[in-house]
Amino acid sequence: MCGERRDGENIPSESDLIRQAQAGDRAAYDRLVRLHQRSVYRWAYNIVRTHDVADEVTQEVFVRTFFALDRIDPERPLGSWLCKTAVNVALNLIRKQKFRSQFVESLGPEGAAELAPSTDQPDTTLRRKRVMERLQAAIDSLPPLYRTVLLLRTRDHLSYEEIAGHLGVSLGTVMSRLNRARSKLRSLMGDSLEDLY
Amino acid sequence: MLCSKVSNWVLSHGAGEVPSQWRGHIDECATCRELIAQIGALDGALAVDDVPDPGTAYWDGLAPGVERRIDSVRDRRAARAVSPRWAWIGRWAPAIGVAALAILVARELSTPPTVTVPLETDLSVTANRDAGVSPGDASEVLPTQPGPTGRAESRSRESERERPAMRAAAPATESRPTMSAGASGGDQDVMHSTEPTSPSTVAGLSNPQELQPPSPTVSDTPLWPDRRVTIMGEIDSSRLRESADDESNLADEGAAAVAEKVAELAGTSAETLGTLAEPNRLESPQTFRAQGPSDTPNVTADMRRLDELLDLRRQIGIIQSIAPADRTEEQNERLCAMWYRVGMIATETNLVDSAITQLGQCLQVLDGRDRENWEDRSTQLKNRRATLSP
Repeated sequence: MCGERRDGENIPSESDLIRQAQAGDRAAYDRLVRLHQRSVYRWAYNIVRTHDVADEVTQEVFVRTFFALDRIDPERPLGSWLCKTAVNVALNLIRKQKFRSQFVESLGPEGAAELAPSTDQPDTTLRRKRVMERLQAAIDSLPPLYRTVLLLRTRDHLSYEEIAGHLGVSLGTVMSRLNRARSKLRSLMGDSLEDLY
Repeated sequence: MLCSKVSNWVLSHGAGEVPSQWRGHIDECATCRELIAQIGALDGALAVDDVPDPGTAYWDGLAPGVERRIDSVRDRRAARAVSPRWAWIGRWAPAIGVAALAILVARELSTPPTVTVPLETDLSVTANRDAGVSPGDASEVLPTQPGPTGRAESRSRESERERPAMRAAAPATESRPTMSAGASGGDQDVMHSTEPTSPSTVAGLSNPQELQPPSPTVSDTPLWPDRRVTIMGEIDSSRLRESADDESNLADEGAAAVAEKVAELAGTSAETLGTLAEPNRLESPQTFRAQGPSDTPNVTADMRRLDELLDLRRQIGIIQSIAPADRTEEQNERLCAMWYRVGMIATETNLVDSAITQLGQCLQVLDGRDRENWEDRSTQLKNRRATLSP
């Protein structure tokens, strides 16, 4: 789950670090950042699909969390808060015009062009690699909301309830988005899905 | 039937969680088996983490970077902070803002609207026409005329009360056998009269400008003309249009002029607002059948159609300004509904063609039953297009 990775050993518990940070201990907050930075970056990247924007989202998430420390319950996992914030910040950034053009350029027609079936006949490994590239392009071309739900489910193996909680949507919405995301992905991949078997 | 259930389940839950009661069907159904295999392969491939590792240097520098940004934000906030002497302004700012907004809204709402739907005007047209009284003498027939800002609801009630007086003042109206008094109540029985009227009785209506509602008085101006004005205005609008259409059908020049004026008053404002206030209307085939495309050479109907097309164009523009990837399902479906509506009310073949094309593109992003539904409607549009002359 998002936020469960640890960068080091023998560290104070997360709730202790949160309490210390709430008391004004900047070093404790620094530890919290290091604890969760990979998870937050990963989730940001899964939504925005570029390193620069994912970096921007990651930093913004930790800045926002710092100024919201007094509203965080130390007894609850910080990862859930961070994931929700990351998704919100990333989606907001995508919506903003500043990032839209970059996003569309990287995921728009070019992404669709990458989905065009290749005519050559590579060997199995190369074919598999190409199929994975096509799958990646197909994932990129999914609407961010669909992509987020799908990857939360398939990569992080979150339960439906956890996804609903992280995204602040109903269980029905999660199921509906999963359904549509898989359906779109399946139609985008077409016959090349067989190469994934 | 079971295939669609299996498909729906697998697409939502993944390949590994198919209920055991469907196993028998899946063993026999090649389509379901293929779908499960595809989704299983897809989920397996998706589980491969493709997030690149930015490297140790990046991870080491992230926390200090966050710290710098926190300090930067703090500095900015400190720079914006006002001295304690003026800090009370910040504390009271929300309350001051709300109060200012309330004053603005109150002032805005207390301003009389410029376009109104004077129901009594129409009543006077019908009644006066029946009575053979010119509009200039309307005050002689109708006891009182609320100002243009009077609410339609109160107008309806007043009309109910005034009807006996009006009938007394207009004996020709009272004696008409087609008046279904009490059948539908209210003004409708007066306005829906289809009894032909002698052209000579409407000859005095050659100057439609006389039908302009009287100027508002202080007592007629409501302080809070709330949304009911719009909603009731739409009802009045439809009644007025029906009445206007009836009058146009008399093929009388004077009546047509009246109809045009009434529709101008009623249609342009209330119809537009009514369209916005009632989104389901765009999607209801019953409504389309009830209203129907206005192909008749009727000025009123054409104005109404044009008005709606303009409004649809505006609404379509709003949704199309959103990038397709960012549109919600509801927005996509609404776009389909609006293009469908354009195709159904347009009489210009190029506009219908365009609506068919656009609807075809819009429904591509829909799934399942929604898509089938709009594909059916697209077929309806194509059928309608075939009936139009090239």
